[in-house]
Amino acid sequence: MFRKALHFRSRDSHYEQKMSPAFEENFLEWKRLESGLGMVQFTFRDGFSNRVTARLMNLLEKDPMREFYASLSSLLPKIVYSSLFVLILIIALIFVIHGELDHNVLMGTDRIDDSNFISYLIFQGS
Amino acid sequence: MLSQLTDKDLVDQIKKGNIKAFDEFVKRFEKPVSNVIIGMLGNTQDTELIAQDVFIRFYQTIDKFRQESGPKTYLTRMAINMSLNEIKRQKRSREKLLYSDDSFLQLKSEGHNPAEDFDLRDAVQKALQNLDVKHRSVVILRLIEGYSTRETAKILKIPQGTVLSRLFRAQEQLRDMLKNYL
Repeated sequence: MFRKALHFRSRDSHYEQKMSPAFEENFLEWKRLESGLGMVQFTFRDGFSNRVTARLMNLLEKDPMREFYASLSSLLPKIVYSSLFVLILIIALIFVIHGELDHNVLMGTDRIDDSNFISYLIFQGS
Repeated sequence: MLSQLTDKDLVDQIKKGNIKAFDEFVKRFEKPVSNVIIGMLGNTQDTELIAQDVFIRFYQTIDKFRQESGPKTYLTRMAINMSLNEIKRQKRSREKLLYSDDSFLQLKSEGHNPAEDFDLRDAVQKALQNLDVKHRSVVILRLIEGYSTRETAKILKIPQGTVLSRLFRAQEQLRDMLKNYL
């Protein structure tokens, strides 16, 4: 019976109007229970917020670096990603420089200048 | 001033390190947190400490709070999770929940004299403690805190049908236990 009441309640009040007297009695009993429990409000004794804030301040005073570490931990992933990016950039640069040096050794020159620039482009194309 | 801020602005102030904003935040959300924790754990000496932990944990992890849900829902979820952790811890250490002295907690309700309030509060707490944890959490969120079935399901991360079935079973038990008070 109560399952039906719940079912009805989860829909709209249109169904509530079609209840039989026995069904309605149970439904109202359910409603009384709901409103009865809804009336109950538990609270801590007065000054709860003061006690929480005082405890927080105490924690922060005990460890003044706590906030710094907290902010650091949130920054850590960004630092790691940035470092990785820079590292990859450096490695790529090394490869480029190294490749150029190899090319210069192969071409018999120490550096690329105007005279061998066309052969350099041909070499790169091949 | 701070009391006029929206929840979002208040959280932004806390993120900037404004302790007074945190104090206002605690005042604003003290009631739902206390309802959940006292309902879940009963009137124990540790109850307020756990509620304090909820707010302090919120402060410490505020950067993770992206305001997708409101602070009340977020705190309620934290309160439920921390209560469940506490229940597990108590089970592990085989500690039993004991009711502490009455001065520790207060009941606020309208239209009842203190004697009736005490009786009702006591009866509701005992009845809630007699429910198993799954049913208890549904009753607290749905019937005491007034969340909708959908919101309750979201907070507990269970289907809405499960909320309704647990509510039905819990309500049957509560109806028997509280019939003299309602």
